[in-house]
Amino acid sequence: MSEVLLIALLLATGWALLASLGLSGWGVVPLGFAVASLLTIVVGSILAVTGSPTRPVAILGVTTAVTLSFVAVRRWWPTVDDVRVLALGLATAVPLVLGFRALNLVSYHIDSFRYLVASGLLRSDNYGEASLNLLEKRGLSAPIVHSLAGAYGEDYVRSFAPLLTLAMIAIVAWFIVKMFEGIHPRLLIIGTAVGAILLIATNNRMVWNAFYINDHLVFGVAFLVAAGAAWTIAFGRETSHEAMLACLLLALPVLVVTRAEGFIAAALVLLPFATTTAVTPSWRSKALRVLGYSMAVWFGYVALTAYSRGASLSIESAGPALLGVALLVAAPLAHRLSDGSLGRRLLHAGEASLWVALAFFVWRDPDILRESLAATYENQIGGAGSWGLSLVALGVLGLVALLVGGDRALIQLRYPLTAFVPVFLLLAYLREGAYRVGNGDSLNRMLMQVVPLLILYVASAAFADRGASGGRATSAEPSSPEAEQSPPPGSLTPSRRHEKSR
Amino acid sequence: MRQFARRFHQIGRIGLLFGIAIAICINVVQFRGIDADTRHNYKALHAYDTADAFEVAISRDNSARRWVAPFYYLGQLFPDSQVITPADGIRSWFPFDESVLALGQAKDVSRVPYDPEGLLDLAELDTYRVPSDSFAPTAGSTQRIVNERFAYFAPSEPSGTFIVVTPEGNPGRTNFLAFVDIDLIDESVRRGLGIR
Repeated sequence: MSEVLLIALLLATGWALLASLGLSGWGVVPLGFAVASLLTIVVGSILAVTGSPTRPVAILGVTTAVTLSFVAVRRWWPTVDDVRVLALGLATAVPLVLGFRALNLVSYHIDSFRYLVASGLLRSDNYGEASLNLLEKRGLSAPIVHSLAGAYGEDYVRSFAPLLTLAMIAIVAWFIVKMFEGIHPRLLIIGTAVGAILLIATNNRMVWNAFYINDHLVFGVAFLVAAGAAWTIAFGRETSHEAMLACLLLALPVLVVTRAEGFIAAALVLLPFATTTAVTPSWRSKALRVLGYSMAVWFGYVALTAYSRGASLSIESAGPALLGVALLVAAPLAHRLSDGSLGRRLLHAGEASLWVALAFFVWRDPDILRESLAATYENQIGGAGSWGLSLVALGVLGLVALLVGGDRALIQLRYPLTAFVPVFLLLAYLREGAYRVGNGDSLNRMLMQVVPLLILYVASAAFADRGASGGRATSAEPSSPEAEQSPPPGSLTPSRRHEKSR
Repeated sequence: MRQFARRFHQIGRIGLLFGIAIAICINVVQFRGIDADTRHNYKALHAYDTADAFEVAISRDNSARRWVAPFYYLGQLFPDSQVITPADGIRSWFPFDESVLALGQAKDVSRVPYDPEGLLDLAELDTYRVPSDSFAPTAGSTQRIVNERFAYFAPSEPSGTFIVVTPEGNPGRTNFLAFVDIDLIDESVRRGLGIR
């Protein structure tokens, strides 16, 4: 029963945040649950790095207080429709929580218990005792979420991962429907959304991930929400852009504190957002500052903890902390970027630099790449990774999407995916050495983090050059640099909408 | 040329939708086969008799029996304990102090200079050893691994303070470690350690 109350509180928190920002309809339920989870992680992280109490009651109390204050400042009061949406959400969530708890499904690996060690430290206000290994490798997301179960005497929130998985699937469908409704036949949009839902729900590893005690799911959701929100802000017409900005600004710090590679993922999501003139400069600058602060604070905390314990400053923590500071310094430059072609050149340069970095490492030690590719082949084609041929099929779909989708309209979704390819291989050099054969291999599990966004991208590419561009992307298709400046007659430009909503 | 490009894009989009349908079919066809070839904790859908991951893992996996169980059952049997370790600390595969505080639910961990290998002859305390079948599952080789790896020594009314003894050296991945209630230690030894 206590877990039901916890989930209900999270749902109500996310609902209040998003509805107060103008979002309405059924999407508030899954997005609200995801956003509340992100907010809880952000609040928990701030409490942890500032040495404040991190017991469940503190994390939940501050999260609720922040939400209530936000709603009060906005002088928001729910409409009847808003209340109906909340009632729908609760009526759906309660039986699901009880059902998932009764099913006795759990996926784990020995490292799952390291996350629960971090959870236990948070629950007992002992996070300051966490080892460097725990800080650097396990992050804060999964530990914070599962520490909340301490409020009712359990070790982890048993229904959290399956519920977040359902929310993630619904969010993919919501983005498809929201971005293309009114532009394409309704039946076609719903059919594609159902296809995307089934593509995730029938994937063996994604189902396994739905019960796994780890941080891949939170990472995948934050990655999806951040990229989808950036896309919606840049090209969407019907959605509350302020609510989407809140989603983006919460997802970025969560990516940073979730996994070691999280800050790279956040940067890859942010780069197309920060360099498009389809978004007002103040919003781009805001997003850059949020990522800068997140990186500087979290990695600064890790670096200082290491230093205070006599360890030397490592590039893994000091590097991203300094990059965060650099982002803060660079954030005001977003106001100066008024030329779309410059933004595109920056994107190309960013992606190319990752491949160049990979080439450098391969030149120094080709064996790691050779072994990693061989292991990945065994995992994805040979069946050792328990994916079947699902990722091969998704990869082929992704390539077709690259060929037929309007890249301008889908850049916010495409860029983080294609730029992550060299990052996956770079991580083999920067972290544990070559990837290995087996379903426990880290790359094999990390791939779960990009699948939801990849599926959203593939499904959206089926509509691409007309759909998303209903506002702007259609008109931007294909190549004129000034296309971003000239939306079709009658449609508001995103930047104007932002100005109005401020 | 323009018409050709438009045609190509149209066909490509229809192909994408068909491709999604085919990918779903591949997933459905392969789902059960993947689970059939996979260890229990990597199966997508595998219902246990409990959802308690600790109980599930300890009753099935030696890694959990060795690295998680010593701390987990400390928390289950003796929550809010004080745990005394040697001045240099204890090195185990799961970092000792944080595991004792988190999974072991200890109130605190304090460091005192002593030799954890030679402090006590545990054989003399055998009557106070908490039987492992009173707290750990009996499935498979659980009891054997648990008894090889760790033990708790406590009187019927525990003091709430334990000292860590490691007769085989640092526990690392497989060496034995014991949590001994300090009431079971001679007064003179306790005084020598500066405890109470």
